[in-house]
Amino acid sequence: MIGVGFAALAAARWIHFIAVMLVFGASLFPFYALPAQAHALAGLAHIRGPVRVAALIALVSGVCWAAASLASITGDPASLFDADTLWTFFFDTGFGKIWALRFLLLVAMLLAVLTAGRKLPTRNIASALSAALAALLLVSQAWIGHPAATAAGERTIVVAGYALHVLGAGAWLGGLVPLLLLLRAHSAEKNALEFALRRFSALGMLAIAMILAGGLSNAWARWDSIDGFIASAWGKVLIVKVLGFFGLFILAAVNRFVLMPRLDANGSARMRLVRNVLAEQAGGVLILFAASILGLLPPPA
Amino acid sequence: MKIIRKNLLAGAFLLTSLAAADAHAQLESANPRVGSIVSAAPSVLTLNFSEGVEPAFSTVQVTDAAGRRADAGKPRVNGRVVLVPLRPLAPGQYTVRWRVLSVDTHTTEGSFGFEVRP
Repeated sequence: MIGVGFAALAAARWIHFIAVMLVFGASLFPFYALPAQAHALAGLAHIRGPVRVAALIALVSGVCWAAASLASITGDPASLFDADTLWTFFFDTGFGKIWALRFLLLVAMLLAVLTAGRKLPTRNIASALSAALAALLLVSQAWIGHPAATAAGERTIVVAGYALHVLGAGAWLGGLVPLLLLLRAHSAEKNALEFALRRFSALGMLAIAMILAGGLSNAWARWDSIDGFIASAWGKVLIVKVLGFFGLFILAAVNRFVLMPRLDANGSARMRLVRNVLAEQAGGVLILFAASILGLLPPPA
Repeated sequence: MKIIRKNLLAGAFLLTSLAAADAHAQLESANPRVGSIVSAAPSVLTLNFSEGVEPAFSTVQVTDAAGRRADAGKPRVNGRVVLVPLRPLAPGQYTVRWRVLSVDTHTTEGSFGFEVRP
C-alpha cells in the first residue's frame, strides 16, 4: 500500500511540476524574448495548444496530488469520499488551506489560458496573468512540503530560497519549449531568432543563479554531516539531481558559447541547437522526476 | 515500511519502542520518559517531536496493562509539542501509541511504554 501511495504521489507531483512550469515559462517568454515592436513571431503561436493542455493537466494533477496526499495521511483511499475528512483536510490543517488556495489558482490559471485566445504568446495582460498565477502555484508548494517543517527561525530563508529555486527552474525549463518552436520555425526571421536566443541565454544565466542560490540555501538548512547526507536516500536523490543540473548547465554553455556564435555561418549550428534544446528538455523532465521524489523522502535531520 | 525495532531492558520489565525509519516528525523525547518508571502519576503526557505537528489527523492513545484507555480527551498541540491529558493513573504499566501528521503532510507512528510505581 505504501508502495502504491508513494508512486501515486511521486507521479502526480512530477506531472504537476512539468505542467505548471510549462505554463509559467511559456507565458513569461514573450516578455523578454520578443523585440519591443514585435507583436508575435512565426512559430510562437504553436505554443498556445501545449499551454492550454498544460493548464488543464496542472489542475487534474493537482487534484490527484492532494487526493494521494490525503489517502496517505488517513491510510484509507475511501476517506477521499468522506465529507468530514475532506473538511478537516482543507480547513483544519495548515497545508490543507494552501491546497484550497491552490485549487482556486489552478482554476483561475486554466480560465486565464483558455480565455486568452490569440493573445497568449505575446506581451499583454493575459500572458502576464497566466505567468503570475503559475508563479504563485510554484511558490505555494513551499507550504505543502518540507520547507513548511523547517524551524521557525530558518523558515523565511528556506521558503525564499525555495521560491527562487522553482521560479528559476520554471523560467528556464518552461522557456525552452517556445524557444524550440522558434528554432524550428523556418519562417522565423533570423534577426528575431538571434534576439530571442540572446535574451533567453541572459535569462538562463539569471535562472541558473536563482536555482543555485535557492538550492544551496535549502540544502544548507538540511546539512548536518556529510556521512548522514550521503547515507540518506534523500541525499542520494539530491546528488542525482545536482549531477543532472550540471549536465544541463554544460549543454546550455555549449549552446551559448559554441553554437550561437556560429548561427550565421551554417545551418548545422541551428540543427545542433535544436537537438541540444531537446536534450535540455529531456534532462529537465528527468530532474523534475528526481524533485518529485525528493519531496517525499525524509531529509536528514 | 522499514521498521527499526529496539528492545530495551529498563528496570524490571521489557519495553518495546517502535520508530519508523523513514520518519519525518520523529519523537525526540517524552515526559514521562520513554521506558521510565515514575513514582508520581502524571496528569499529562508530553511528547516532543522533531517537526511541527498538525492537530488534525494526529492521535495519541494511552492504555493500561488491561488495554483500558488512560488518556482523557483530545491531545493539545503547540508546535512540536503534543500534550495528552490523562485520567488518574493507578500503579502499573502503560503503553503509548502515537500517530502524528507533520506540517509537511507526512504521517509517522510509534509506541513506547512507561510504568507508574509509587
